[in-house]
Amino acid sequence: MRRALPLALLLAAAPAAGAPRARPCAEIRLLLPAAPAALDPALLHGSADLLAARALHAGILEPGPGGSAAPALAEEPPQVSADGRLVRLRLRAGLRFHDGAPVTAADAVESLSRLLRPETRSPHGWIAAPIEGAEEVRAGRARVPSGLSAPSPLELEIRLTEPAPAFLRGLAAPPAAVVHAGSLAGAGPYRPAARAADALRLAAFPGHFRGRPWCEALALAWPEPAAAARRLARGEAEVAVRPEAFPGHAPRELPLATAVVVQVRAQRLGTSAEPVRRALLALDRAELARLLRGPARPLASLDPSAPAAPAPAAPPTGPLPPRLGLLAPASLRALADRIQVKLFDRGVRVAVEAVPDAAFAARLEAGLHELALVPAALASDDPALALAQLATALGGPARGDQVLRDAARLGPAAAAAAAEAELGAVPLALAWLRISAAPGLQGLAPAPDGTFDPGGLWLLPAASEGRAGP
Amino acid sequence: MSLRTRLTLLFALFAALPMAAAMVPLSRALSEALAQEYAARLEQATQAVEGEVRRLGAEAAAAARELARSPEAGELAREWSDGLLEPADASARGPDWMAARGLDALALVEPRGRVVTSGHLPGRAGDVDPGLRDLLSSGPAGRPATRLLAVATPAGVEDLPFATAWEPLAGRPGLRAVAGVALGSRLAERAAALTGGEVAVRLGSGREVAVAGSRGDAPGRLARLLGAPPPQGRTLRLPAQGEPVAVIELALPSGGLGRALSTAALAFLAALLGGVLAASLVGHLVARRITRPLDALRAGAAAVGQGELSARVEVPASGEVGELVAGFNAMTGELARVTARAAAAERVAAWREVARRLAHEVKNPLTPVAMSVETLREAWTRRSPEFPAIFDEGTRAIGEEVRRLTRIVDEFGRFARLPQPELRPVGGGDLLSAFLALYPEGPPGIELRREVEPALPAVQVDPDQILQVLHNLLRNAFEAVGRRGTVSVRARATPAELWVEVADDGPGIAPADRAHLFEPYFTTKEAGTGLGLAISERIVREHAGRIEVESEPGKGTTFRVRLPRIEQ
Repeated sequence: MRRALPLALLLAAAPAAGAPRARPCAEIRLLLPAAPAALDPALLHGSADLLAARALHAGILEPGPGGSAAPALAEEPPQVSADGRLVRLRLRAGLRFHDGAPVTAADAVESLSRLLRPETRSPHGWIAAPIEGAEEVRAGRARVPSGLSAPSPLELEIRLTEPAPAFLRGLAAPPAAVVHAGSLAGAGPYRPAARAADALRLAAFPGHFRGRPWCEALALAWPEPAAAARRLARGEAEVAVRPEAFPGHAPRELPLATAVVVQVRAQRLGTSAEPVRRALLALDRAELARLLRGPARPLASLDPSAPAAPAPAAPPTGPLPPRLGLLAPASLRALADRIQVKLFDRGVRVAVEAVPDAAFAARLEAGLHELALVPAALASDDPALALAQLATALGGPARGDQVLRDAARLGPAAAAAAAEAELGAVPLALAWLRISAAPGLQGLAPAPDGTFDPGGLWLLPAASEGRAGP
Repeated sequence: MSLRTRLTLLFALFAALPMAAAMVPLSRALSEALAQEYAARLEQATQAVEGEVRRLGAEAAAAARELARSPEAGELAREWSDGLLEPADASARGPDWMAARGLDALALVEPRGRVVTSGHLPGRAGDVDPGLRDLLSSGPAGRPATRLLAVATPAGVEDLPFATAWEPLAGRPGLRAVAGVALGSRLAERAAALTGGEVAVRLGSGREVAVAGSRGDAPGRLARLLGAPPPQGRTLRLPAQGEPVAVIELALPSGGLGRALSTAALAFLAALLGGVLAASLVGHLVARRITRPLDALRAGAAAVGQGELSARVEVPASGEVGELVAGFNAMTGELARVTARAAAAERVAAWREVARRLAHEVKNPLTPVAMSVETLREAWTRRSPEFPAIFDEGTRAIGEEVRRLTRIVDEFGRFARLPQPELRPVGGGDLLSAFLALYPEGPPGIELRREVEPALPAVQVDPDQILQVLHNLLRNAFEAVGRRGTVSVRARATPAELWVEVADDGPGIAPADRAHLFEPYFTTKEAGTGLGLAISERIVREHAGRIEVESEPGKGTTFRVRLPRIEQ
């Protein structure tokens, strides 16, 4: 009610139904599946991070239709040389970051370089890996790749070590967003306004390259499933982007995928690693996928584009260890419990250690586990890039780069097969989120990469209810 | 062993014997009582554990009833029957419900055991759980049962014993609510707290599930010797009939009983020791009271033995001992009186002897005197012409006899007036030198030999008296040798004494005379008074020494004076 009155007054003066952006909007309340852990695009991990990044940041490119990369901060589509190794980009003039600084090609150079620098500890170095000189930056011998330059404040030149078809799609991924070099301020449609323990409030940024967003504010929250359902039902939220389906709110699948993979660490298990991996491959992955909240399908390969039905796995060829330890994020506890029971039925006692999602990455990086249930919110729907992201998550930046090169040379499927064996990876499932909106809220179209652009939200009155929305 | 010691030991023995005799039956009775108490405690502890297991079963049954009627279970059942229940949702609810109810096992299952949601093993959702299937098929709803259930633990999935029960969901006969309480560490800890012993929960296979409490210390050697019961235990099989799912082993410590028994025994021994000591003390005091007069009597008798004939025992005593003391004192008194009388008689006899001797000695010279006087008177009367010759001879004889009388009187006087010796340390060499200096050589015809060791020890003597003794002995030796012979003076040191020997090679002394040599007035010499050796023996005796004589007729005589050395 607190918001309804001014909104109603505003909406009363709004144009008639059907007119896009006809009615102003004070605030959209959006429910996420989890708290955004990182607002720095270089450090995005989960799907909530990706969703928040879409509101806060803008990239040089953005996902376009048909797997293409469309200009975003760029003024025009990228110019690629005939040999596919030189990419020229020109930024729009007059753009500014949230902190008021102008958006320049130097910021783009810095943003891409940050992905490679060791101190950034970014899991998305795969985006900039094809750039010439990337290895030097990874090794700490250079701050900027030699193939990355800004001939003028608005011009960006990128030389690649070899033709990389997926490179431009990588530039369109949220982690490749351009931030102001000093403040990490973004150039997305919304800027941070206030942060609480259970909410994040964003205010519309008039300097966005598409202009001022239609809605003045976005209130992000991440309640428990039951609370989310209650909020939607009571009209206390307009949009939910979560795995659950909320009846009555027209839930639609949002192809923002999270891959779940079991990592079998040969360093800890030795010769038992391969029998364990085969035992895991023999599990019913379709059944396991059903234990994930929201829409999910079994993952047959590290290549997310591979057919859904996994090929029958060969039985284990060696003795299984009597005891195993399985590290899992708390959000995947049900899946871990199921794996525990299924391996128990095969005579293996599995100790499950469920750690908070926020602490999981650090525990995974410590490398003290035998098995780990690793979720990876895919920042790109490009198969090669998704494969590179998964390989990076499981084997580190060098493995991610190698898999990306393999994918370019052999194709994602073959590269995935090789990576699975080498990384001890057992792909389990691929899950998506759902987007549910209040009946009066229309026009929520997901972006080609599965995310949606909050800047594109607009409100149409529900004709049947004669109501103007929030 | 003295009488006092014997009496003390006797008292101690009299005190110890009855107490020691009483200790055996007392300790036996005490150990039997403690063993019965221990058995009773064990029985009570067993009942407490059984009660605790029953309580957990009732708790599980109540929880199953509550769950079966709970709104959340009904809601889940509705979603399940409507096909709206997503596996992930179903899987998540069981743990929440179980945690909220404080249970160790909770599940909603289909009648054939397929799990809809499980709190204790969430990953089993969708599968048939063999443990739950057996529970549903083996007993009616609401009845507690002990079952082995697979549960997820931090270490992995384990089969653990549970007190379980099930109930059909209200209005949803197609689902069963199962609740369970683990028969594990909580049971063991609570049972151990209830019983004060050690409680171990094991599977039927023997694998230990939980253990709590302590068996305590085993009774010590002394307690075992006194009959303290060893630690005992009971085993509860769950269920009581059929193949056991779990076994609860209860062991109660018996160290406390053993300590009590040992303490009682030690206290008894301490009392025994105290009694013995007290009895010994009393015995000692009584014995001292009894033996003090006897000791005094013994001392008195010893004094009498040493010549103190008038010794008296002055000690309080009564009864027979008092009479004995009085008798002793009367005896010594009488002895003293008799001795005094004997001494007086002896003195009279001595004076008589002296008078007789004196008369005898005086009489002998007086006879020639009287005869000379008579001869002179007769010659004078006859106007004998030989009167001058007779006068000369007669007066000369009278003068001779008068001198003899004078000498006799001097000797007697000297014997009677012998002074007390004035003792002082004198070197043995100095003494011998002073003595021999008076005899540079023997009388004509007599060889005087000197055999004196160097560095003779000092002696505590009156040198004048000792020199008188030595002169007397040497003079006797010269007289014994006669006109020709050898006299030797030898001096040497023994570890305790100084020996001075005067030896002659004269005719020796007849054995019959040897016993009387030192008696006064005994003499073998015609003109001797018989006092020289008596005086010498008295002087040496008063110097704590003695005179010895060795003589062989025809070969000579040796007198040896033995004087004690001054102790260093």
